Amino acid sequence: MLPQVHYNFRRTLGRRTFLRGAGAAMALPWLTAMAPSFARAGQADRPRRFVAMTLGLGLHGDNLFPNKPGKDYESTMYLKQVEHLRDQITVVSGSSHPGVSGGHRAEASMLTAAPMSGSAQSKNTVSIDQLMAKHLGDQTRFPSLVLGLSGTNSPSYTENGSMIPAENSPSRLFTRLFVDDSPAEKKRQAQRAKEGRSIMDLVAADAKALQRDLGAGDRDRLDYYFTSVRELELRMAESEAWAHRPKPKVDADKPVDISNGNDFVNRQRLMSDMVRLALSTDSSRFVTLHFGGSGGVVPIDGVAEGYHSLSHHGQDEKKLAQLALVESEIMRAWGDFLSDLQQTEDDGGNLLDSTSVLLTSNLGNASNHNNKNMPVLLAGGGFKHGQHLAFDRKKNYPLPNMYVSLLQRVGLETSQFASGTSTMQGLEFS
Amino acid sequence: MMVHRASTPTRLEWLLTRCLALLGLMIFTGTVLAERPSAEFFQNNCYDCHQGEGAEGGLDFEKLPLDLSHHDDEARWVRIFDRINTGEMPPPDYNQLDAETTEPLLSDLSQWINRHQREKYAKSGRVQGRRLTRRELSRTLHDMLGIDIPLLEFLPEEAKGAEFSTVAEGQSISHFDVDRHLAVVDIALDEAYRRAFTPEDKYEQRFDAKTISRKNPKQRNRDPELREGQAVIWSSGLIYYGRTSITTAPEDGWYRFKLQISGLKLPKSGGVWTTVNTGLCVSSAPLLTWVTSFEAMAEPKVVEFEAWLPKRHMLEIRPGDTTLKKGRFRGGQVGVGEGEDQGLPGIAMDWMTMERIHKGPSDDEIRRMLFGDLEFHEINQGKALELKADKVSPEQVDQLMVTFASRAFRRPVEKSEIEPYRELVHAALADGEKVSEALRIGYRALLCSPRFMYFTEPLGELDSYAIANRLSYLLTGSMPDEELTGLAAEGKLKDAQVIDTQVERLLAGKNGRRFLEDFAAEWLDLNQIDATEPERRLAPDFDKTVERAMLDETHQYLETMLRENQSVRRLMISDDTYLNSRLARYYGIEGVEGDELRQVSLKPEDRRGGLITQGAIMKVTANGSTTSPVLRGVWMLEKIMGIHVPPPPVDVAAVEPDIRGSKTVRDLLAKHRADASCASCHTKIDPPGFALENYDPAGKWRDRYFKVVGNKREKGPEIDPAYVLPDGRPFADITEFQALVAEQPEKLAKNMAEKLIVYGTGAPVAFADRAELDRIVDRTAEEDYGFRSIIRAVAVSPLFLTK
Repeated sequence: MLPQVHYNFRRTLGRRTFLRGAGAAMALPWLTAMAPSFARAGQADRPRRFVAMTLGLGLHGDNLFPNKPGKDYESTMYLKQVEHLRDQITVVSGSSHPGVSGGHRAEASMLTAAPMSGSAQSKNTVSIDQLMAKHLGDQTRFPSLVLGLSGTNSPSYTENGSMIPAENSPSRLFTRLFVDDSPAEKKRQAQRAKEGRSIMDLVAADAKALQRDLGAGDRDRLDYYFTSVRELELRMAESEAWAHRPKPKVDADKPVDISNGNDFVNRQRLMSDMVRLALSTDSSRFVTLHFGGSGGVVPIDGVAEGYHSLSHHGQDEKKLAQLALVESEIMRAWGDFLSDLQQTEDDGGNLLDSTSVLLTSNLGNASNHNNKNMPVLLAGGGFKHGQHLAFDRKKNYPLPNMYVSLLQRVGLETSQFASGTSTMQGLEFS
Repeated sequence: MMVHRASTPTRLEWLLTRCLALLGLMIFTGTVLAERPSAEFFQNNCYDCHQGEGAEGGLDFEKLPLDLSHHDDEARWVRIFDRINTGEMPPPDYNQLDAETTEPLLSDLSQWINRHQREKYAKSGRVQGRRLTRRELSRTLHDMLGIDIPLLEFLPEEAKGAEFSTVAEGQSISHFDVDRHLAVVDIALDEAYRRAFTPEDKYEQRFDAKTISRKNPKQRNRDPELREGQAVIWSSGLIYYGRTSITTAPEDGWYRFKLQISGLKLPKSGGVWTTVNTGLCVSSAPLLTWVTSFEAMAEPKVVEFEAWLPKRHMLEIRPGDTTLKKGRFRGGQVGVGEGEDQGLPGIAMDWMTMERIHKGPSDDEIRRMLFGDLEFHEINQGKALELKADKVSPEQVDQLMVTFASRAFRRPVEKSEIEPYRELVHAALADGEKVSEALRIGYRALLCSPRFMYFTEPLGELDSYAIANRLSYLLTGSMPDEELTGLAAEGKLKDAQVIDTQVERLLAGKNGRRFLEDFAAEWLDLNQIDATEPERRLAPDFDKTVERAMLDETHQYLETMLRENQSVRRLMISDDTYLNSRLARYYGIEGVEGDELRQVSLKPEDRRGGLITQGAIMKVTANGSTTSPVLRGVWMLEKIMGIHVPPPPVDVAAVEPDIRGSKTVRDLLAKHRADASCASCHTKIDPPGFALENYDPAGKWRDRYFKVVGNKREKGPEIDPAYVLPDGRPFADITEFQALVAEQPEKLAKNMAEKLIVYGTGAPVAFADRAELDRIVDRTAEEDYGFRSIIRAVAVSPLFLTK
């Protein structure tokens, strides 16, 4: 499935070249963290993928979390929806992001774990998917995909803490993934990349010329510059190559977008299916899909009130019952997505084995906007699943540790992410 | 912390080295050996504690190579010199030595280290290829191209590796950084070309109260409501309440607003403190950007402010004082009249104007920067402009490239030097590109050149252009202006008098404020002012208006120090500061009115004298919920008092204050004093740390600790700030501490000079630079170590004027 060019590129980059660059960047933890992953690049390790599905309105904890820890936990209302995947899923209770509060605002921290509070001016940091894409995204046409069901809100943030707007149209996404650009557009893109490359080539040569007149100190510093420019040049060649290469063909028609913004679950199903297509064609390996809270009535029998207002149930039984209907459907659709991945062949195994799929929300309790005890479900990806990791619901376990595990799973040998300083206790590679 | 390496020379090897050196002495000359420290001294005076297994403080003289080529070893030898020099070692209770014994050794050590470092300088220079920082790059692109759009957000933040972002050692570069650099260059060039080739940006609106208010009064939303002919927002905690849809920006841009506003149902505390933020103001885009705050009074007044608004973003204007009574509204929306009977303060707007502006050069000037004298003509019925292409000769193109390159590289450029860049342009022209597009490729390349991105200088004394460069980046954070470049061209910048005049010029007026804001952002960590939010239960009256006023206070205080050349003593003591009504109320100082900062005389019981007790300083040195005398102590030593503290041994756990328990930090730290290897640093760290314990994490004075029990705060133990300075002088509280430290202004001055050297040159002050640093400080003694005197002395010092 992987075109040969990936491996070519990696060989060209080379361990020595890269490590020299990394030496310049010792102060930058990400870059040192990435060194081993590149050092191993020569081996044809199977591709590792990550999908985060994030809920804007939480999942009602009482219907989700089992009481009993370990492998023989009792199935709860929501877990019953994905019971057939029990051995593929880990459910985590009693975990959250340290220092994160602010209710809905904490949505921005879901995948970054950056401390967030009621203040609107809090600053964000890089999200886990973008960190993966930064270091490993060059393998695919799209380093990452940032998707949503409605609006452009997303949990994906750049290193500067700016939000990457989500694509919310399945049909537009399909076009980007599978429909070839016009020759004119292809030419324009190739032209741009080519111009960038010749500039990199030129300034690299200029750096060499400049070095001749300088002392040892300046010369060393310019060496780092030179290496970085050469690496970028290679990466540009890669994207130029993508522009020329035909997009993958899939056995599916361009979808029709669902115009009813309240039809939450069907939108979820359609976009999830696009994610499956993107993964199976290796168009991208790092995907976020945000299920923002629609305000309207989700068209499900027995549901009469708006989804957002249901999430603020205030323990009202009628509201809780309707909320359970909506959230059960969301869980069932998520389970179907996982089953689809499981039934898609990939590199000798199936797509679920190579893809870590996280389902979570910033809201542990949507009713009172509490950000503790976040709903956390992890499926696939080559972890030992089939268990309930039960942490202290009063004194939460740091969820960023799971992000460290996920980073290591895709091959980034880091031991920290945001406030996470180790891998997650009880979560092991299979 | 002993650094273990595979080939640590043993004692035998050391002796062998010394024998060989002795051999060298006999054959050649005596100078080499004379500069080496004598092993005998260490054997006689240090080995009892610093030898073999379990050597004190991890220092084993047998294992420490007599070699400076490794950076860590060099640092250790410098520290050994310092500790013997200050009399800290050997410790008084062991064997105090007289000067006669130590002096020869210190002299040897000092010569040895000096000589080694100078050799390194001769080969590599003090400063090694520093790169434009993110802020400098953004500002330089603004000046190069005449544009004003924010660029910082497109650039990755600097790695936190060094004291200042300018320090070459801490700067890193990867393909990712180059990629971002190219991207930001493209964004900047796109904007410059947009300004050059399209008609002027215009947007001017005047809104009356009715237009500012929500269109449909029956709708419940978060826009202002029309009440008695005014657009009104009540005090409430509701997010985005106060969004004014009418201010939605049609395009990305800077906008100037004028607003006539008054307060309604004023609180007892005075007017209604109002905040202005920008954002999309919908729940799917949670973040807001701060613009300004002011106090709305009973009498309407006109406020004016400028804000960058991305397309579709709008203003949020609302009562922003958290101490005001907050209204409650059903379902997250506000209906007209619903705030009326809740007894809430509010704000009322009469009218507003909104105008698109540009900061800096006009479109015409931008056209000149890019295309010199080339002529333009209108196309598409005046909707766009175009170069009159047929009139452009290859020579003109070359000339434009040379001019642009000279500005970008900040020194004159010969045509031949940029041949590859020119070739790129001519190749594009040959391919049929338009002149403007071909030039854009050339400009793009020049702005990615290492000659643009780096400060590279030949070894030795700087030439005039490099001096202009250093001066300009130190004082303005951007490329040299025309006057500096002109002086460089005339070779006049080698003259100290000329440099001095330029320093005064570049610090005059608004520039002075910009310089010190840039400098203090990193020196005093003021760029961390909003890194934490004080815990609500501990600081219920803290809000953004307080935080901004704190920052303004410190800036204003430093600006006055700069403008009036006040002594560095003011870092420690003063009987005045700068407050507005909000901050004065927060500090508990009475009689301050108005939203503009004003100079306020302080009484001793106010306890706000000196820079170090200001709210902004207390906030950036705490974490929002607790204070740590260790962190504040280290901060004071490193940032203000100029004492470098080595990091703690790796195996020592941090002492964490426990806000629930009854054990005070003082109890916890007491054990440090008992342990000799901890005590060596903690006798220095703890005094300033404890002196500041009376200031809570949100910058307020406190007599006792508070602990949080459930949702309430309860009184904890009383705070005891008394301590003893390392030299034995005791103090009872912060005021006495401040007085003691202020007795030695030369130390504060030395620290400030050092920070300026590091910030301005991009390299730390090393052992070999110390004598020069002392000379800088001596030169300012006559002016009582005035802030501006120190800057001027730094700018003409050999340290600053050498590679």
